[in-house]
Amino acid sequence: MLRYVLRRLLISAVTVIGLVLVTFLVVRVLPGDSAAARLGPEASQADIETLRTQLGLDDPLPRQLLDYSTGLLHGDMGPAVSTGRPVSDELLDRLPATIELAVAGLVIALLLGFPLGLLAAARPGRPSDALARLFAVLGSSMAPIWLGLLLIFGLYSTWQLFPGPVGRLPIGTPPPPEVTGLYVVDSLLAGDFALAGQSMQFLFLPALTLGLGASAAVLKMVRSAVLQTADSGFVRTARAYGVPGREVLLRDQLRNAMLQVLTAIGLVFGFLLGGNIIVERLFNWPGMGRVAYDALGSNDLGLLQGYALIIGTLYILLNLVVDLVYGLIDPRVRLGGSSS
Amino acid sequence: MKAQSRRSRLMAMATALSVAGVLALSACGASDDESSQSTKKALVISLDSAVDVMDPQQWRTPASMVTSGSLVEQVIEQGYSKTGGVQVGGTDFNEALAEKWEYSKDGKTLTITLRDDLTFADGSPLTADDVVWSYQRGLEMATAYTKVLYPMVGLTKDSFIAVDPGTVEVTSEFGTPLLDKMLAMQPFGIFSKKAGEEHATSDDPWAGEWFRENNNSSGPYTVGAFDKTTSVQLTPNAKYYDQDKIANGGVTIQFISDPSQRALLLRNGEIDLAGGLPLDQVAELSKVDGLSVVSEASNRLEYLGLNTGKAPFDDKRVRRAISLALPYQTFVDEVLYGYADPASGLVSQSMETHAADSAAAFKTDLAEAEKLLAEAGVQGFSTTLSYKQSSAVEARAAVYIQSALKDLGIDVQVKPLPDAEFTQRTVARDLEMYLNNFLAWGADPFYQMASLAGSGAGTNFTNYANPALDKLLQQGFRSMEQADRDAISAEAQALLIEEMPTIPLWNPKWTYVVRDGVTGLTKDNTEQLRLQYLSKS
Repeated sequence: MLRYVLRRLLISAVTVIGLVLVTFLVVRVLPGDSAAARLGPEASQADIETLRTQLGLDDPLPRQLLDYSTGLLHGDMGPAVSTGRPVSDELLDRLPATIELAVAGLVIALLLGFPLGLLAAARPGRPSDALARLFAVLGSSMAPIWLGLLLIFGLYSTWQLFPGPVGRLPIGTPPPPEVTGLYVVDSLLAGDFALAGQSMQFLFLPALTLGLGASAAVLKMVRSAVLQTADSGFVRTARAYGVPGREVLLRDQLRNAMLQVLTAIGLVFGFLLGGNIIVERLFNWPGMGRVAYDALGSNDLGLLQGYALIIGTLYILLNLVVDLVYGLIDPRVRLGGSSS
Repeated sequence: MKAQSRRSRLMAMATALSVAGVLALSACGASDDESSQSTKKALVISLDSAVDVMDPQQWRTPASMVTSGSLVEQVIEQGYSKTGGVQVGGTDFNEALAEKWEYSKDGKTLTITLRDDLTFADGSPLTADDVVWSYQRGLEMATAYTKVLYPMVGLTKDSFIAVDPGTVEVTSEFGTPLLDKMLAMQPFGIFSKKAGEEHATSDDPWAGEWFRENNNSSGPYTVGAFDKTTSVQLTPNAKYYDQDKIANGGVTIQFISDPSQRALLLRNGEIDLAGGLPLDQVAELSKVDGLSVVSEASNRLEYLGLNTGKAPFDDKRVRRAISLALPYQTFVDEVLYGYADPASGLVSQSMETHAADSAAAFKTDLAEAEKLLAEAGVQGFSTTLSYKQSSAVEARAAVYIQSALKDLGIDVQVKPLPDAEFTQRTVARDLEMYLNNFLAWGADPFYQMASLAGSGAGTNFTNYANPALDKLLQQGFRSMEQADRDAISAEAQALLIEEMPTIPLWNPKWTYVVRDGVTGLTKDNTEQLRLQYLSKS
């Protein structure tokens, strides 16, 4: 097991290094001059050149990469040209909002996708399976922006069941004392249940927008993985011994399908962390995605690079955690067998 | 807020899905906002952008300019006259921090006498040293936007002297009416020298970093709360020199990046005023009970830039021919939904010295256009029209331009560019034909013309250079008499119509949508909202 963990850690470290290299190079080939963008069109060429020198943009590419990598080791991603603040501060300040939204989206995706997937797998080809698959098709084919608009129109504007898209709390409401940065958790820790309720109200529509799309992926993966086990010997044997179908489904089929399902959950959570730029903008959710969107408009390449790096690193960490959990679930992995 | 409780109950009933826990907790979330006990009510507004920095000399977005401008006061301010529900700044000025301001006979020396007992928000005294430091900062700080204005009014770093704690002397190389206009702009408000020096470093002698996020206000507001991705809450500055000039109990600017959501929140009463809305939605909102559209003529100019360094745009007859093929009224009616004025020249109709006959030059006359092209020996060509992909208005206008120029045998390829690339390529001056807009602060005709057509101007992206025009513009900057300014401006405007390096298309109106009871919208000479005059009944 130790060798397995070490191997996974090494692979993750190499992937992070690759990620640093790729984000660095991609940002360098994008059009736009950060110094000119910061100073505006009326700036003199001399001022632009001075700022370019200050920011190190005139240095050779290998030197820039070395400086950037050295800075990263000290937690320094350089300054955001649009605000002058460190990129790491700009992004990490917003990370809790993004995580809170992604976790809520994942919870909704699991609550919807898991039971529907099981229901579909329990009776393949029956009406319940057809309905679940229809839900999966609709969920995966609806663009988040369209779904979000639909939810805002219906649940906020028309029926006023949920609050409008103004962020994490009502306008003018101060946030809870910061412990984790997750408003729901921090409100509960502060004993302010009313604020926790408000936070959840504001969280619900953007999380539902994310979660509905993601639930389709979970549903399809659960259904497919459980169905794959249906013809296994252990299932046939259990049935031959007269074990009730529900028990076989939940105890034998589902447990054996969990490796694939776990992979799907890891992928879905990664998607929810990095793929919510549009949802954050639509709901004015003050997360990293919205910062990245604004950075695109202001040509703040350093901020975009930092965003890609943080999301990419989170994704790698998620995969690492999933890989390690494999080891706990499947003894073959622990003992050095197949890990896939 | 009773509706809120009803919502919660409905919500609980509606949860057939697996969200019961969420909804149960949400019932606890309904809470009333305490209405203000003050007679002056607070407002919630949403503009076309978010606020990124608090420094009025370094702002990057219009909302930042509005916000940071509210954290400084100027020595003088514009006089405002009421036009159609809007207070519009004119060319007369009143005292603000200054008790009086006087020019020498030759107009080159300005003496500013400050009011007694002025203080910043922290209670520290505001003196002549602060005024001098602020004006020098606007010129010398590398990241200051304001520096471009100083040469236009003949100011250098040695122009400012604190004669005594209450008196500042400003010496210009020449007298010019633009100086008053400039001093009344919010970016020329007064900073705390003490705060600046406390936070200056050897790399940042003007404390640019500190003022980006902090302030010691001399203006009508201080910052109550600020979250860069959510909102900024401005609260009245108790140390402001004239409390009667603050007509509200504070302003919260909520950052709603999607304009459609902004319109929705306005319609549902969550915000009191919205700017930067798509004009089709403005037209729709004008029909909604409880909302009104406030729309006022603007000097902002949308124009078609032509690269005069590239053939065939290097021939003024070709440029003039293109201008004669464009459907100016169609732009206003179909693209701007009526919220614009048709082109009337680089110096717009609402700007001083506008030449009355220049508007007639912007008409559609295909026969004349074909004649000019024939004279230039040009028989149809292909070109590319670029614009910012974020601009829906320019995207629509581009199609009309493409269609209009097809009638002249010109094949136009329409090309939306990412905003960053558009900015980079306009600054590099390599676009053939492009849509862009510009506003000269101060509503000054010579600033406007110099910025768009002056040789080497940072915002003249056309490569156009004409020494004769430059000479006229310099004369204009230095003329104190209105009759002289009118004559010089008219000559320059005529020259620009003949040469047509940039083709004016329309002046979009200064437009906001407000809820009933919101009054006091005030447009200054930078065409930003002056928040302190907003009120709500």
